Amino acid sequence: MQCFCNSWRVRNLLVMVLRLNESLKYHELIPTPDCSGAAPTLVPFYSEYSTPRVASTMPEMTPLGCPQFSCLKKFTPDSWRLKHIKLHHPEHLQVAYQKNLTARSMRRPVEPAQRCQSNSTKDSVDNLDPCPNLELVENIADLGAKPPPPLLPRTKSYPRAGALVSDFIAEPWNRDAQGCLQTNLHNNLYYPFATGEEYKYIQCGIKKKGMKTYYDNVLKEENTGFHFPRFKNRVGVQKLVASIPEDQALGEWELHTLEDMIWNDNHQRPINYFSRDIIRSMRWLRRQQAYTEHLMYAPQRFSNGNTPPKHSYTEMHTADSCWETHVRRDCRV
Amino acid sequence: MVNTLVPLIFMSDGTHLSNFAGDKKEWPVYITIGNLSWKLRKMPTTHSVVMVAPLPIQIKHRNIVQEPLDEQRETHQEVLNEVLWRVLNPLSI
Repeated sequence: MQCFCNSWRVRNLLVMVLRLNESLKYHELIPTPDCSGAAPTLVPFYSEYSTPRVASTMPEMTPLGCPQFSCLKKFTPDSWRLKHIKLHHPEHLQVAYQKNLTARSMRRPVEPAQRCQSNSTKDSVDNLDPCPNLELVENIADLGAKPPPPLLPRTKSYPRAGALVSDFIAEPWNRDAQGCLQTNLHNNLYYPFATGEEYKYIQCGIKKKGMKTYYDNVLKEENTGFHFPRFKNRVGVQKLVASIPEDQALGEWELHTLEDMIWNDNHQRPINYFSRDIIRSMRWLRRQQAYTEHLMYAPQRFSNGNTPPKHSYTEMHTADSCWETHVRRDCRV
Repeated sequence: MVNTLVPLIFMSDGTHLSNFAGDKKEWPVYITIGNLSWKLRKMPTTHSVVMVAPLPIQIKHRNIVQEPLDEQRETHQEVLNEVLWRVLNPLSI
């Protein structure tokens, strides 16, 4: 029996069987590697008796600073058994531990004077601070002194300016008045829809996927049928949607020619260009039902008590020029 | 009487069209209104910007000496100013 156990095959099988037992740990089976010396020692996970030892020829300074990555690059594909090898050299572990400590250490507090110095020497790379605002926020949080909440801005609208378009009084739509589109739009902003409710109701149906069944189901309800007596089924809705004027008010393209001008002597052909009427384009934009709830005509100002008015630079109705134009116009009138 | 102010915003930028038959570019002029909220105005899906005029395409400068090149550039500027003046002329009334 001992003879059989001495053979390397039986001993390898014995090691594998012992590993299946959970009571035995891994380090009990494997002899402790010799970690002394400058070169790293490779410790295999399994089949340590059937594979030869890997020569510890790894340099101390790896190009990427990652011992595992350089280790994997070092081995050839033939040594597929060694793909689970890890490095346990104490120097590498110590360097990695120090790096983790440095990354997790608390940020040093930055004094205002020190920040001024760093601003004065911006060109030096050593004093470069990648995220100074984060440190400032942390310092404020450490002090525990929370700033008082800002006052809510008070909105002040110009009294005699145009009201919201949503306040426009919609008149019932007349089927006979098909002639002048501008007149209909002046009377009813939601033309060809009768009211704003009717427009929103149809808009909700269009946004849904099952538009046909949606209209059929909703129009069967008593309340909906009472509010929209013009529609009996989805066919009426489709006809109305098809009758929406597309580009009638936007204006047609017109071809213009610059009579007195040419590019140069070699290009004697006339200079042509296309254009639209910008006033009609503006009116087309203004009358779009989809923008009705988002249009603002009255100038506004936001202020906190005695502070000067704040401007929302993305919105033109909060600009001083808009307010002053209204004042000048009222003075003229 | 209630007054209403409608600010008009014009914008233009070079737009690449095609690479097949030579590089084709266009300089369209767009219009939008300032009463519209910025959040809606910036979204392309809302179609809140309307093209009012594509500017005439200038001839290319190739193998031209310096003096004719300066004259050609001045001519281009004059043509551009003339077209923009005509397009924006309805606002002056």
